[in-house]
Amino acid sequence: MLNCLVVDDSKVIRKVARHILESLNLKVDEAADGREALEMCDAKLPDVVLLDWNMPVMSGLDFLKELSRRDLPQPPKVIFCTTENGVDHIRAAVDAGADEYVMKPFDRDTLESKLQIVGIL
Amino acid sequence: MMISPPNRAIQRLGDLLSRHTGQALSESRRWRIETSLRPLMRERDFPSLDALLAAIDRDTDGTLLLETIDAMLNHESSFFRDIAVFQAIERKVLPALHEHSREKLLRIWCAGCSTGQEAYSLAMMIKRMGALWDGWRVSIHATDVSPVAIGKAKSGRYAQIDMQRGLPINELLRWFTPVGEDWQIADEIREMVHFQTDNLLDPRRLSGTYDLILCRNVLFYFPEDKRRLACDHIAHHARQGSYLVLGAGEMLTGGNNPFSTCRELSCVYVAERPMSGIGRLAG
Repeated sequence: MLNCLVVDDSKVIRKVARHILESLNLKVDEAADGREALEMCDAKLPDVVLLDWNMPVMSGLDFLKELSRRDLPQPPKVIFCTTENGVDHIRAAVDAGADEYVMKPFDRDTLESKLQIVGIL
Repeated sequence: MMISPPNRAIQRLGDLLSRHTGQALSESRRWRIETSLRPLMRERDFPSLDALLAAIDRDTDGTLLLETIDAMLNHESSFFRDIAVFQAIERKVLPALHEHSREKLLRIWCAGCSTGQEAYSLAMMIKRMGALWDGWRVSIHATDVSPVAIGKAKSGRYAQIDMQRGLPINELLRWFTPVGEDWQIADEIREMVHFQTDNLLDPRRLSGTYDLILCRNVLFYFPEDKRRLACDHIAHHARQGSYLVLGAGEMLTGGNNPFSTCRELSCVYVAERPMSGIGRLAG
């Protein structure tokens, strides 16, 4: 079973994401900020990370930069979640190493589609 | 307590849909018909399906009838819908067509293209394949029975929710520009596709044969006799070596069709023999 790490400071978003991801047969772990997410990446080597952009302690962008420095043998696919649809914003995430993006609020079909695009489903 | 929908009104609406599009109202769609028509009824202040039907009877120019039928059609579509099918087209079907063509001409027909995402996905895919198609004439002809869907397809403008499903981020950044809350596809892609309103049961806009025909999630809306007719029209516009892509779970009907399944490619068929015997169809 593939592992997904959900990174979001909102408990509600994490709960919704967990519900959807588990229905897609993924094992889910949660982190409330980028720092905690990095520790989880080191410990559990997730296959995919669903990453919020604006978080306290460490933002999604800083998380991506740190993750790329780690030089993991099999880095996780990263789908970043945002409430903004500006091209500059999306491009910044891609430049930092994100594989896909999803707008909040998302539903099961949307998330399933993104997981297919990055090759997880 | 479960409330039954007003059967007589739904029966009449089903008859209208069938007469104008050939589509049958399945049991599952019967239950959704009032939901599909609710925005139109609210906009025009019709309190019930009976009131809508009475207004259709009074409407002399037929506009309301066409709007009602359009509202009953399913416009569900998304970019790169069923990603495995698009991967098969990109990795197997298009390279095979490229290899066997003598004229450097690629003709694609998207039958039942809805709001255009499938046809634009193919256009983006061909661009993504890069130099392979340099020097080729690539034509994508996309048809749908709904003028409203074709209008939206031609505009190439999509809401955020349309962008969310199936469209890879790199294609979004390469080919779309935000316009307010929506996204506009680039003219370079838009101009690759020729959209026209046309009915698969009586196609009048097609000419000649196509190398690749997509008719996905369309046939199951037709009753058996109409499905057979649609399949005949598809076969009529194929040549030996043409590929056909259907929706998951859809099958060709009619003993006269030339298509065989492609091994290891789900939903993909290839025309393995000449189209003799079906040239009698009016194109």
